[in-house]
Amino acid sequence: MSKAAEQTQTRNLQLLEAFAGTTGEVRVADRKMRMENVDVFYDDNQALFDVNLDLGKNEVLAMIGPSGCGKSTFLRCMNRMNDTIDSCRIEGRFELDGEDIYGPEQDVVLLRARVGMVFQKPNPFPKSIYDNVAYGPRIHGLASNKDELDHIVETSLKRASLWNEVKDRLDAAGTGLSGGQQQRLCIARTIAVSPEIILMDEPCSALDPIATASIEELIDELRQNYSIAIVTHSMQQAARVSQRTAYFHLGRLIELGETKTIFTNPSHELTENYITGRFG
Amino acid sequence: MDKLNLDQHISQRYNEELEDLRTRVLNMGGLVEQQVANGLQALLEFDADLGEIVFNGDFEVNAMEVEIDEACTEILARRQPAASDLRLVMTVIKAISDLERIGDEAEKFGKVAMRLAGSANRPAYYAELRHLGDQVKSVLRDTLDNFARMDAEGALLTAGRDEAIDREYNSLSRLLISHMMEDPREIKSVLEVFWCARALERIGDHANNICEYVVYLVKGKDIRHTSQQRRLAAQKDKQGPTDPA
Amino acid sequence: MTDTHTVNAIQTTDTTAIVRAGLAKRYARERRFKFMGWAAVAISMLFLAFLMTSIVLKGLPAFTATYIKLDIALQADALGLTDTPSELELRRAKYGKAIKSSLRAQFPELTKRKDKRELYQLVSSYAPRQVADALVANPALLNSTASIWVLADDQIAALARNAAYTSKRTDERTQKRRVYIAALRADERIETRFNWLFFQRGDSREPEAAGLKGAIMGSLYTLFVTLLLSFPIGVAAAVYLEEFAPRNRLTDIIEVNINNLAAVPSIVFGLLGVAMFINFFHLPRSAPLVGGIVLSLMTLPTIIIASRAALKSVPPSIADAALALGASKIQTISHHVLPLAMPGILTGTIIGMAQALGESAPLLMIGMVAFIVDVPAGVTDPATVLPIQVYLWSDSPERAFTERTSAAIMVLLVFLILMNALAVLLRKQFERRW
Repeated sequence: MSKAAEQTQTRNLQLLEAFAGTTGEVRVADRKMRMENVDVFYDDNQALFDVNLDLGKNEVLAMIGPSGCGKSTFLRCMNRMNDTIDSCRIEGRFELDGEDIYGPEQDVVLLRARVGMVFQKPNPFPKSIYDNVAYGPRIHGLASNKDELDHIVETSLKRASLWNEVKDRLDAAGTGLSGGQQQRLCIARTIAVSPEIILMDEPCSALDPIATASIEELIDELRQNYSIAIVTHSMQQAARVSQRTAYFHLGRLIELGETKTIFTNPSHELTENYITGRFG
Repeated sequence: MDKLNLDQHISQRYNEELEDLRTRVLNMGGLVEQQVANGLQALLEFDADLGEIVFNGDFEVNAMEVEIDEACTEILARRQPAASDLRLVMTVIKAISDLERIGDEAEKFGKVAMRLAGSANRPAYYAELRHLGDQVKSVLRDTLDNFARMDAEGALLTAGRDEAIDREYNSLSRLLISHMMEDPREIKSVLEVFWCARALERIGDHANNICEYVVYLVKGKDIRHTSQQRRLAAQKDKQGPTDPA
Repeated sequence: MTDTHTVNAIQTTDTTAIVRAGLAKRYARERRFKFMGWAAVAISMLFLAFLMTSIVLKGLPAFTATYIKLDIALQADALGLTDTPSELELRRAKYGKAIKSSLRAQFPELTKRKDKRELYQLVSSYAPRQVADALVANPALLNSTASIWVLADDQIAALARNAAYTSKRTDERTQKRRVYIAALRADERIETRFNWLFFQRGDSREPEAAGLKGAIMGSLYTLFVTLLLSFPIGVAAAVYLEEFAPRNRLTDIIEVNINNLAAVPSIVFGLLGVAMFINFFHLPRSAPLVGGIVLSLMTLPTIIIASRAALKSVPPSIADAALALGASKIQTISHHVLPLAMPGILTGTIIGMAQALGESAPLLMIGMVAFIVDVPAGVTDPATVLPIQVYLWSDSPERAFTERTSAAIMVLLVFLILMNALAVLLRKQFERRW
């Protein structure tokens, strides 16, 4: 590491130690999901420290930060995917439309039908395109006959901007599509169960620039019907795609604000350092 | 956030590019400052040779503007600067435009000097012109210093001095107008003085603009087209809560 | 800046030279290694060819049977039968005398008692059964003289099989037999055919009548029971251990025990079988049911370990995707994880089954070593299995039994190859889904 970078590193640690709380909070008028005082532990290691965040209706919230800062962990808490990890312990409150999703009466299966997730590496099932999209509706019983199911599949594929490319080969294997198409298939699969929130964990990091651009365009369209929280490594992507941005650093939410402010004039020095490429 | 770290990017080369950009702007500023000083000197001492040097020197100023513009475009395309880096590039693009205009005004001095050097006519009110010129030179120097030091408070104060320059210019122009009314034969020569005074006032305005850009660069607040009182109020508003010191 | 560049440049040229210098040695070493590999493969192929050839050569004769056509007078009163006897009476009647008289009729020139006794040894002691079979099939033959093909004795068969056969034995008896065979052949009364009987009958004291069907059925029933028990239990245990078991000490102990079970000597399972199933639960001895239970205990660790490996190899991203859509854990496992793990699970199962097919030690303990003539009809009938049949036959000195031992080994190997082929087919079938 160069001397200058070392100095920045030291300075950043000092700033972190002096961290007094999230700056630039922007309260959303129309709140869909609210997260308060969230602490997450993996065995004895604490991964997230007192994070307070909310997700508004029909907005795209981007979460950025260097590797290991906890943003993916936080995202996975929002649909209780961290339940599958034994060593993970979550404290704090996650409210979806006012109800605590970690409450004892909460059905995790129902929650995940309301809060969908798209993963980093496209992971279509090894089934046909039709079966991929139809799987969710089938297990939740959303269609009472074949026609309704066909309709759901067609609508989802259209909303995911994939219909025109695959309408003639719905029986072809889902894994035979290109990377960008596979990711759109995964998105179609997610929206087939009509979720209210879509969580995206670095959805474009495995894709080429053109596929990335089409997915970003898709996110913009999806915003009209869903609330979206997206974790991304690419600051430019966060800048292009989101209305609000949250900057995480070593498990703490440093700054939360409107995207245009964060990228032209961030309040906190740590945010400034990350965005301008002085750290991370 | 009162201190701007322009260095310490992870990419050394990016650091160098930004540094280079600032240096070039300061060089251009220095050249323009020199042009103004020489132009005024040529004008006030009726030095046609110096006037010609100033006249020719404007080419270099224009060339620098083009070069720096290209450098900015390249940084925008290749680095996608954000936050303070973005503000720096925006500031530079605007500042060189103003600097180039200052250079054009200085060129005018040179032309007038070359014109007047031949005639026997010595226009009146040169002392007032010299006084105005000294004020403007001082403001210009401080402006460039503020840019070099990224000093937002200093820039704010320097911007405030534009009012004095405007007042000085207004009183001088009243004097010149009354002189022209009294003695119509003198109109031609007085007009030359008039145009020069106006040029000086314009230089003051451009320096004022550059000060505003410096405040935007450092503070992230756009203070163009706001009054001085509101600016000072806004300055007090943005006390950064982040420095532990 | 320039210094570093020059240093780097120098290093590159040096390195290239060094690499080039060492290349010849490296390639030579690799060639030697390759050659040793090829040699090893060639030697093992040679041994394999040798083994196969010797088994096949020894076993092929067992697939042939020699038959002698006799004209037998089937007089009802001489046989002690009524004119319209039932099938049971037909089977109970004694045809020995009739057979002997037909032999005498064939060779009327033999008068001495010793000669006659040797003549009677031309046909197998299975011959009366065959006469009964012929009568049952066609009762109209009663009270007539029928031409029936009966099984020749195994030593006659050995002599008759190869016309140019030169026996090492040149004693009188063998010479006489040759004469008889020649006479029969002149009459077109002796034939060597494919030995279908080998696959239709169970074991017998007479080598020419000894068949493999009993052992084949016994093996099939045993494997059936083994598969029925070990596959569901094994797969379910693997799913539990991989997906549901909490990571605590108890689970660790279970895992260690399963892995160790795979290394337990198989005869210990036989002891368990005797003590628990036969002595305590009083299950029938020598039955494929008990054999199947014991073998499934042996196969379970193999299946569990292979299934766990297959389950582990399913990419977790698929399970994540299903969970994120709102599938419950059971749905995720049954709709996505298990189907994807099927190829590995099936391979493990077939390997386990193939091992079970060739097991004999535990089955010996539970008594499947008895001499069993009847072909088992169900899982509770006493039976034996292929490897044990091989062992039993290898004990007998008759040449024909030696041939049958090799033939049984060939059948066993064919079974194994078929099972492996089935494994490959099933894997391909499931892998296509990807």
